[in-house]
Amino acid sequence: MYEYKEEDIVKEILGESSEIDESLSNVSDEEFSSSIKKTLNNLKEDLKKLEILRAEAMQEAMQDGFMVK
Amino acid sequence: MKKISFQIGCCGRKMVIEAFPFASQDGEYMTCAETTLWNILSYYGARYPEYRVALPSSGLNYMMSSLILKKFGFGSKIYYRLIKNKTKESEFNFKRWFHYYVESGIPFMVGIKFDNKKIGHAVTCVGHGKIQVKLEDNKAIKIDGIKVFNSADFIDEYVYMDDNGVPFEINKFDEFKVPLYKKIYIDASEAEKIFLNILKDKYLGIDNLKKYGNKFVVRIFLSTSRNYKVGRFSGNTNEKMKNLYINLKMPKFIWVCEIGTVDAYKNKKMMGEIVLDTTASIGDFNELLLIRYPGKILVKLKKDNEQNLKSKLMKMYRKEVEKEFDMLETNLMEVDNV
Repeated sequence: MYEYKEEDIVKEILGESSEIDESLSNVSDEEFSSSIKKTLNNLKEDLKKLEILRAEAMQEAMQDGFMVK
Repeated sequence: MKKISFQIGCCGRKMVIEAFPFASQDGEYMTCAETTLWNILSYYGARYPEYRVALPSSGLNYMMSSLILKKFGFGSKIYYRLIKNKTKESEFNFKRWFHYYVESGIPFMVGIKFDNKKIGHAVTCVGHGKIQVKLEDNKAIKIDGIKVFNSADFIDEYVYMDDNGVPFEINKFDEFKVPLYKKIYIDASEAEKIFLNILKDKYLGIDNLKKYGNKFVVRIFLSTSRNYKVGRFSGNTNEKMKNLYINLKMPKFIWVCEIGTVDAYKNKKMMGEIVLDTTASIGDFNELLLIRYPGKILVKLKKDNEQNLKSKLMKMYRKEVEKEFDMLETNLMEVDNV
């Protein structure tokens, strides 16, 4: 896995943020965390479905796969 | 179209030509399976010295050809079209995953099945045909009243090196094998799921583009970080953004999802992008490297946790980040008369 060395490259090159997103400051940490968790769980579910789809495709390929000549 | 430079000798002169390897089959020692592998391995062999060319024999099935690619140091990925359990979604998926690799400029092996037979033909896919922007509602993904169209659905024609035909021919596809760099752990189907889930996220997603319209196009592709940086650096952007892009630390390969309004896409401009590390394990946004929207940019570090992410999101506004940027076109080159 790739690791970043820089602390904050955006700040280093572009400077400080030009404004702060006030709408996010009204969002509690719990609310934000649960939203991120929801996205991660949805992704997990999608990846599980993908695995099933792949297994089905490989099964079909084993049964009905064709030779290329 | 994908091409590479070859040095040739002609009438005592050294010349350099830009082409894609092509060989015809003789039906005895070399069938389409071998010539397709030869095409692919010649291309990679010419481009990267660590891959060398070898010639196997007779026809091959999908597993055999995949093993040969693996023997040459690739992490071969097989995609097979569902026939018995086919659904509308499985067909959309199969076509899109195929397209993402074409858009990535990766030449790969394609199997075309002859009707009702156990035999097919192998060709090398090297590019795509004309783009026709068709906004088909049944193919759009709906996110909070926003319709997201996939640029993969705008292309129907793909270009092949076919040893039974002429070079740069147009045809269909039934299965495909992609020779990937061995350290790419996230494939096209997984990258697509990650991008779509990030786009659906309330804070990280397409909500950030809501004020610019309700119809967007996504364009997904794999790129070397080198090509990506060349593209972003040579694009029409300010010096600070160029400096930021070239200084980003990235793995050798990245997945990129560009997002733009339909009009921006037609003008080869994009408004947002999500970049993934192909070498990361999926989960907890380990794979996320960068998110950009008009006026906002976020470079995610591996150590960033949810709290960190929130504070970074709050401070992602930067006036240097333009509303639109040039679509990355360093993977394929445009040619006439295809």
